[in-house]
Amino acid sequence: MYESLAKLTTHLNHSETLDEVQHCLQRHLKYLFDSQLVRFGYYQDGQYIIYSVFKAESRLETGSTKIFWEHEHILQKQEIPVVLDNLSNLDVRAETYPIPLKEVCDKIWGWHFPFGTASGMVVSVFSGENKLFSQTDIPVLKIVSESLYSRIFTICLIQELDQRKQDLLIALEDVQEKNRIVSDLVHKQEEIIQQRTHELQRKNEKLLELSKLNAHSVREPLSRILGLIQVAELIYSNEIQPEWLAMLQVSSQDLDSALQNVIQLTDREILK
Amino acid sequence: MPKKVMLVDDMEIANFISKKIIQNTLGDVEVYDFTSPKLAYEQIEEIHPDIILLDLNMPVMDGWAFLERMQAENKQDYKVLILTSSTSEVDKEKGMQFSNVLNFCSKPLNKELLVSFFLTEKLSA
Repeated sequence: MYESLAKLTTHLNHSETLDEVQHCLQRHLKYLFDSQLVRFGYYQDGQYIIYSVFKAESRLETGSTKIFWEHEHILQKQEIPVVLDNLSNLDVRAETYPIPLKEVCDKIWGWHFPFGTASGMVVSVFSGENKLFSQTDIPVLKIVSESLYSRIFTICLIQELDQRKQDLLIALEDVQEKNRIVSDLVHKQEEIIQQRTHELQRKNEKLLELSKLNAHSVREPLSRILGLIQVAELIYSNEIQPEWLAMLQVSSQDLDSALQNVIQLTDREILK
Repeated sequence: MPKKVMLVDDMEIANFISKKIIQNTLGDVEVYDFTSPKLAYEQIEEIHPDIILLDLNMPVMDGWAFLERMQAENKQDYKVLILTSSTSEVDKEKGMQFSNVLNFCSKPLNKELLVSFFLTEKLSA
């Protein structure tokens, strides 16, 4: 018997999923004690897991507190072992089981093993006919229950960690994606700034070139006017005075049109 | 022998002004004025001027082309005074690189510059 218990606990400790745990119970439990059915009800922070183990088959259910049967809810609240002789109030879901429990069983042995405030294991053993559970089987059942509890707890913890890791990875990917978007935006912004700077530089160069060209075109007629004024005192003969005046007029007009040209060209360059 | 001055400027009025200043400053002088740089260039040998007053900004053949042709055809014995409406330092530097360019003068023509040229010419002659 103890060899069978050792086998079960070893197998259990090597189980990495809830399905593997189910397979282990199905395989080893029948060698430890007799019963028609054992229901192991694990609960932890609102998460409920039930293993129902018959001789020939087993079931695994997961969900909320609703998957507990009526007598299991009572056990969970009372926290004291009970033996129920009356199976008439058994949960209706018992009828979906492969064995007519109400007919073959005459007793339910029930325990509640709490672990901490919001966690524990509710165990019920259905006994009857040729498969009778007895007082002497209780220590073995307790060992099995505790081993099972710690295994389920570990599996759930690993699953939760995996889930959190997945969530973190998704969040990380999200952050990386957003980083990419931001750096893309920054890159584009830089390109635009560079382009604008380039345009401005080109415009500045053009304006500078233009202003140089304009200065030349303006200074040419101006230099003539200055020259004419310089030679004015030399024009004492009345004969060439009209000629001199005409030259001053032409030069002044040239200066005027050069200036108007400057204004026009600069306007055009700025508006471009 | 009277001094000979060649004026090359596409603006006739500019030539008129320079001519008046030269005649007033130097007195006994022969002034040959051209509004066509090409025509002026062709007559250099014939006129044999003591100095050429050359404008830079001219159509068809500008002052730079005039100077380059002088350099290419070994006419650098003829001295040049650049007389331009430009006041640009860049133009001045460029102009002074021709060995026969004596000076660079912004219009209107500076009397003192002209006098000092003929004075030094006289001394060295």
